[in-house]
Amino acid sequence: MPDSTRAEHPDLTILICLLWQNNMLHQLHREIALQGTLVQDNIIRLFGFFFDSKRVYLILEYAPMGEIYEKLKSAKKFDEKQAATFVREVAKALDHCHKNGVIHRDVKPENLLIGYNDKTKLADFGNACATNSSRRNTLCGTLDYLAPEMVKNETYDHNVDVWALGVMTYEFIVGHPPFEAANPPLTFDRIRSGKFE
Amino acid sequence: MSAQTSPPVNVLQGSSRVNMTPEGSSQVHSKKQNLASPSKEKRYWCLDDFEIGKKLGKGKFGHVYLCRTKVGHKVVALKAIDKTQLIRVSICTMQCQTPHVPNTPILPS
Repeated sequence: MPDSTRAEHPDLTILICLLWQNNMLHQLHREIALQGTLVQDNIIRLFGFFFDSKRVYLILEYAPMGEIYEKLKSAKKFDEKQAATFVREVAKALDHCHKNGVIHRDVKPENLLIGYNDKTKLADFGNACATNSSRRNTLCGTLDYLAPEMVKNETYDHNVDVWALGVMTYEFIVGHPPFEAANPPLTFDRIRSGKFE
Repeated sequence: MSAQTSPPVNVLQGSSRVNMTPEGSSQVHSKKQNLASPSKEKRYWCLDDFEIGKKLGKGKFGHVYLCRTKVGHKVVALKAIDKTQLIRVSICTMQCQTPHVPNTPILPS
């Protein structure tokens, strides 16, 4: 919006700000609503939330062993048995999500935590959405884990999580994501063509 | 902020359902007791219910802290989401998701 318009219509500026705010609050509300309903061993529990004038607080289950990503970075890659355990538990978590009509949309090692008894926990439902409406076409998630239909800007469904799980399986065993490239357009090209080294 | 370096393990285990509102003054927590307090006024969580410990990580919108409840000493992770940051990032993601705009996350300064 040009400055002149902004000066002439201060109400409009406020309105747009409010819309943005609402959109974001809506997304946060969605995160709370979606994660709050998901109770499963391999999903981080959301116990409740509250807010003050500055912040919104989410009370979440504590996973003491940290991110799988950190573990992967220090170990470079996992052996097949360990990778299989992780993938199996994430698959269970995703299955539970999908059965309850939730797409996580941001499955990556950074969002996988390790809880008590080495249980893998799926976290961060900030990008999740409900599937009950029609198929989605919002682009979100992290580049390397995007499914081709997301890259092509087509509508997609819960299968994007399955794709991300596949990409992650490759990363666990090989040590780097299959479509990793020097810049985002190149990554997109690789995902579109399905070629990897 | 007091640092809680050695949290008791397995505090959340065994309780399949932790109620969404903080309990009263009772120190012993069992499901039965929680259910058997209908006379208590419904109370919501607030920051004063928690002892804040070390920072666990940094997210897109704010920080995650290790916390425990003052009553019952249940260890949880508290994700603090900054409202101003929320709006800033929302503008950014809007830019990212608009077609014909390069897909690079540029934060408005």
